[in-house]
Amino acid sequence: MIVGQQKDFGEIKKMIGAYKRILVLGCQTCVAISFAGGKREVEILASMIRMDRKMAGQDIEIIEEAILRQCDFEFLDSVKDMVADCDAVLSLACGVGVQAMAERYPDKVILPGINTTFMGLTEEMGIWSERCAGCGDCVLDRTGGLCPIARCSKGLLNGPCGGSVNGKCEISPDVDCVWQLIIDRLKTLNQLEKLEEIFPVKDWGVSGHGGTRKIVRKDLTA
Amino acid sequence: MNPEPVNRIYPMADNFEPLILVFCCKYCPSCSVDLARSAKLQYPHSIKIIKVSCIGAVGTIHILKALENGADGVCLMGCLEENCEYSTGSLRARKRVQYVKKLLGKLSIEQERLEMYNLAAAEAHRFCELVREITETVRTLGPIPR
Amino acid sequence: MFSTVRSILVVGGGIAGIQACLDLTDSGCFVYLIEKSAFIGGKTAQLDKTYPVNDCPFCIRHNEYIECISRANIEVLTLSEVKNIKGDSGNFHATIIQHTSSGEEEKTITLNVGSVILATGFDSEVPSYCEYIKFPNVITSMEFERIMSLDGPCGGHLIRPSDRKKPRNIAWLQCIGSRDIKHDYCSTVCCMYAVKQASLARRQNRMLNTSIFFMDMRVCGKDHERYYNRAKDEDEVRFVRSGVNSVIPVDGTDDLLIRYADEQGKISEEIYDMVVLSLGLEPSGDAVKLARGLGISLDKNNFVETGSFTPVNTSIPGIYVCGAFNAPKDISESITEAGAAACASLLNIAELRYTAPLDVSVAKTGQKPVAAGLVVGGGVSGMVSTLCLADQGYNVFLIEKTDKLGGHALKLRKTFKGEDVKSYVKELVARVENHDFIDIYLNSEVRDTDGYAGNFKSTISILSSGLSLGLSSGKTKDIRHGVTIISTGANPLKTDEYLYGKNPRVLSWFRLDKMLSEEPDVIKKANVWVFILCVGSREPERPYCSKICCSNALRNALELKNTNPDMEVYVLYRDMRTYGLTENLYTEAREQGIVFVRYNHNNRPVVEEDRDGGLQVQILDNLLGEHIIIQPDFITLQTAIVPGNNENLGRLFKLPVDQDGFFKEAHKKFKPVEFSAKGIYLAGLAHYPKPVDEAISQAQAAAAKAVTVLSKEHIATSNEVASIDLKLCVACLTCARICTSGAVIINGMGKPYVEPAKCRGCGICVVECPVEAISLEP
Repeated sequence: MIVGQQKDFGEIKKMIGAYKRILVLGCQTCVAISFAGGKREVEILASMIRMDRKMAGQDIEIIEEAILRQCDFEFLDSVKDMVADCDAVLSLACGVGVQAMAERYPDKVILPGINTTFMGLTEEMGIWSERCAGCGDCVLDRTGGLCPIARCSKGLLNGPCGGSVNGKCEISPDVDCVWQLIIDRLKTLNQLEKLEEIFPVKDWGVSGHGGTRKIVRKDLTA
Repeated sequence: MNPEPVNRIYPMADNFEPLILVFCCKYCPSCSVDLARSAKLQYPHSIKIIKVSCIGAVGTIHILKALENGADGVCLMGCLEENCEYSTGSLRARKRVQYVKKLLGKLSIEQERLEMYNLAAAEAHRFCELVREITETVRTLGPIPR
Repeated sequence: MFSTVRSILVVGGGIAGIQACLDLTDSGCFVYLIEKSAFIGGKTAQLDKTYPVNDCPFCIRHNEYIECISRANIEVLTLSEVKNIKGDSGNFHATIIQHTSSGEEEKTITLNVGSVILATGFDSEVPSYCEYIKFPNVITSMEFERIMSLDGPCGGHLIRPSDRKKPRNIAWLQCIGSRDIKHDYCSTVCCMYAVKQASLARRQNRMLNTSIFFMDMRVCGKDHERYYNRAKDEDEVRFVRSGVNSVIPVDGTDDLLIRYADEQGKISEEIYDMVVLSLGLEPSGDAVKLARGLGISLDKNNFVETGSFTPVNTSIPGIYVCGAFNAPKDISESITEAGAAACASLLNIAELRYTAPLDVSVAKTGQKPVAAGLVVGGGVSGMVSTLCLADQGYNVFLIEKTDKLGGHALKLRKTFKGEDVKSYVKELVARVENHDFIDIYLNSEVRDTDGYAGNFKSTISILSSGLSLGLSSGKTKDIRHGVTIISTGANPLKTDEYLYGKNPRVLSWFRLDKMLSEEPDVIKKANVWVFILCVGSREPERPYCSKICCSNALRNALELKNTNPDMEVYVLYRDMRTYGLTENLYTEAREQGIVFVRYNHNNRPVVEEDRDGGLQVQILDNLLGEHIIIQPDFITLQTAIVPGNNENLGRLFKLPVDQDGFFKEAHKKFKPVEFSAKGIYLAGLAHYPKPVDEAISQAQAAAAKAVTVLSKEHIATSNEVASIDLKLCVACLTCARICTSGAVIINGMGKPYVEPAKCRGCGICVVECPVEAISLEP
């Protein structure tokens, strides 16, 4: 899922500036699961903003709401009236949701309350880690199910660098060297020879470095 | 979940009676409170005690709303961590309080307005001491500007 | 007023009385609790901390005290005493006198009850020979507890009475009012409580010196030996094995001088700031008067006489006893016996109660509990629990892994009181086999189990062909039951110490039992016999006491002497742990000329064979300071009792096992027969080594607790239960991950479901749910 992290309060405060009436809109899917933008976080953030304003002797009215997803326009329609009613929207969705909101409501200022960080998973409650870089050309079959693009600090595709010591990456003793993990995993799967196969150069054109991506499925379009 | 905001006038700091919201879990801390009351021990009258099943059930939102809506300080009283009836509640509450203190820091609200204490059941005197302590601390800090 | 013959009278509002009330009211009975003083809680409520967990007894139990007085089906009469009880079992008339707080008689109340439980506890009198109690800094053990208590007169600060200064050193004198001419018994608890007091005092003040003057260190219960080791090694409490001769005031000060003789007989004198007398337990004077008036049999020390097989029955049918009134015992044993007394008193009025149980108001789930129990293990404890349930009309599935019922009791001859174990076991087995409500599965094991209190499903698998209801080996059977009782027992240690297994004259204790019944001639011909105690117990790999070995050894030693009065009998021991009423075995043994030789852990007896295969035992005698050599005909080893393979069963039922391998109950002190998981109970040796009377009372207590689940109209749940709005839920699994009650289950579609019977209403999931989909509903 997409993992996000709420922006620093100081930054949010600056963004909402002097608006008198805002809608804090949460998203109940990915960002809720990463405890950054679900209904729970919407309420907490709203309370903080109100207290902050009161302490400065000013007022603010906050509408608190959360919808299932902000990346589907049908859901966005459901908050039409609330959006119309406010000066600005502080969206706690990921970057996709914020942009969808901006597209749907082009006349309204839509502010991002979250930094969208990575695609990853929940290791345990409270701990999320990156797994996928969205490169568009998945190589997990060759690496025993471990992604060197997302998890290797240098994005190497051909094995560990010289900085890999005791299975740890040279950038930090807390970071595993994914290539060590790959080698161990391929050993378990009896697939070590995959490391010796020659593959063509990776097409980075589909990774986003070649421009914004779009997928069209003619069999599904109207 | 949305208590009525308390309207009060704060003319000067020395007349200020801080309102402290004290969340007590229904096990040991409530017992200390009962003991304190039956022994007629003195503690500040301006505290409001709210009994909860487990102190771990007091959320960030409750603490923030308390401060938003009129409380000058919030105190969480839970059981000793190894005695928590639900195993992890007391520990969760401690971590949560540490987290909310940081949030208060971002709002420039003094972190001493929020405290967590672990009580055993017969600690009537300690309950009074702790409540007096936080009341005095908050009194010195003054009301949250509103 | 409720219909009175379905009600039960509990006399005494201490920890045992309260526990009996709770079990009884939980099973739908009406209870009258009579208490002489103005408060309930008894001595337990006055203690600072309780061993071995060092919990505050008030903290842990205050909810129970409050429950006790606030339930609808209990009436508490304080400042009241029982004047008389007339009538018969099932229909007693009790006359109660209630006093005003100034002590005058206020009114007389007559109660009509079906059973009576005496839970009157104990008194601790300072014996007349302790004239030094008159000095201000000589205090009783209870006074010390009050000084240490946070809500006591000193606010928990350890100061001495005369000048309120912090003492630099404190001495504890053990066995005051126990093991003397007037009290031929051991008060059981004093060693542990002195160790507790001294170690807690040391923790409060590392500069304080603490010394305990004792004869034998009787720390026999579960975890007690470890507690004692910690006090010695970590808290550095000093233990002096000695005989104290006098306590004399030091002129010009408030200090005390203690004169004592150590084990070698050397006389020493030491000065202390404070002296604590570890007082023993005596039956309460008023209770003794009442018992005499009712014609209840008392022993020579005024304890109520009970049989080992009926540990809570008095000599009058329908009147039961629990706690310290039948023998000195600690809080966990008192709580267990209270449960046993509750069970017995319920059975007494069973027909009446079963027809129309009173419905105590609880939050309902709409499910009726399955009226059956699963008992795992067919030894004495298992059979007793089974019968207690079956006699109250519940179906019981009794599973036994061997091919016969009876367990280790089949090897025993006599109890320490001299009662015949074999015929008791035979009778028990016969009752179980002929009971309509009991299904016995021999050669069987539990293979699978699931569910919650009131609604369990288990699968029994038959291991080898047995006569289990026509099922043959390899077959399985699914059963549904409301409760489970674990009574899987324990095993004797297989040792290779002291030439066991190598020389046929080195015997196990159960081999000796057999010889006593079957080979009296061999015994008559033997000249010298040696008992070695603590074989395998109290060792680094097994730092616990097996509790029954000392009394078993002495019982058998006396039988040897009886059979062959000229025999020389030696008992080689580390501490003589004849606790409670078994102390009189020790007194008698010495009177019969049995020789006791004490050895230290690091100076163990050495057993060798000479050229002719004869045995030779060499031991360092602490009194003489020299080695002595004994050439016995036979040696009996009192080997440790070790747990069975509880880890596997524990994994199956999700029950914890402690570091010694015995099952871990919900609370070592206050919940000795239950697990944290509701609906599952524990009895017998699977919990810890114990003699047969304690196993029986634990089995009865487990059954009493089981009945509190089975007898309800609905499966109880907590007052508030979490409820998840599936429309909002995004299946993030947070609630399932953090629930500590195991109440949230994820179904096939990833959505969570809260099992109301398991939810305890703590509210943690409510506040953690990121989409706020959970609320607490009544």
